[in-house]
Amino acid sequence: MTEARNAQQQEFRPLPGLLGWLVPGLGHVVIGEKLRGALVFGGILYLWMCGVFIGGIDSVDRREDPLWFAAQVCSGPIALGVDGLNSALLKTGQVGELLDSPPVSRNSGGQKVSSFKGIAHVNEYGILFTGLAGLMNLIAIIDASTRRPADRRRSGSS
Amino acid sequence: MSALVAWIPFLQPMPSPGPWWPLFLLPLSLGIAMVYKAVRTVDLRRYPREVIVMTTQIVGAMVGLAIVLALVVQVLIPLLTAD
Repeated sequence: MTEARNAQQQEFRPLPGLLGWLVPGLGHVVIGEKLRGALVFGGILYLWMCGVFIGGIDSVDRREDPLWFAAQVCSGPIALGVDGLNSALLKTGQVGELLDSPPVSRNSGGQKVSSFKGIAHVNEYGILFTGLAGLMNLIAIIDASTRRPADRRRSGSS
Repeated sequence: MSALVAWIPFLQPMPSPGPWWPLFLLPLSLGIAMVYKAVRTVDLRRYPREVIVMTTQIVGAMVGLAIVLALVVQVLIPLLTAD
């Protein structure tokens, strides 16, 4: 009976997972776990707010931190949006100013870097908060895709 | 203080907290516990308590690791290298 229950719980449904990627927690809401979905949403939003508050929008950078971006993008379009803001505002110099940075090698010319670029611990923690938000949302996505819907669980237990 | 006045939150990185940066671990552990316990807690009435317990466990484990590593670096390694 336990095996049957486990098999039922392991059944993979892609729609709640996709919705959970689009809006963190929405995958749980559509399977009937509204409170759980709201708590997941609150947690992911909290991690993102803390990360961008500490590290600024430079915490999300698709080109300079591609591996971290792979983790961050698991929390959905918010990562793409913040990366877009970073590219549109900081990297173009629309906000802050572009400063000369020393060339990395003899052949490469000096690059321009935004004065709003994050460095040291605040940058590390900004990336860590937003990266962990993505990885925690990945756990929530997998859970929403494999969890039995609340109505089925209720009818199964009666 | 002047760095704080010029700071634009969310657009700019916050001014460096100096030696207090390890305290960022507290909100980080809280966030991890909030999401993990939202997924794993069976009875959500126990959610606040479980979040507090898990946050304390993470912070406690990190402080424990820091103490062990400090002992290795400050005490054990000088003993091994002393003539």
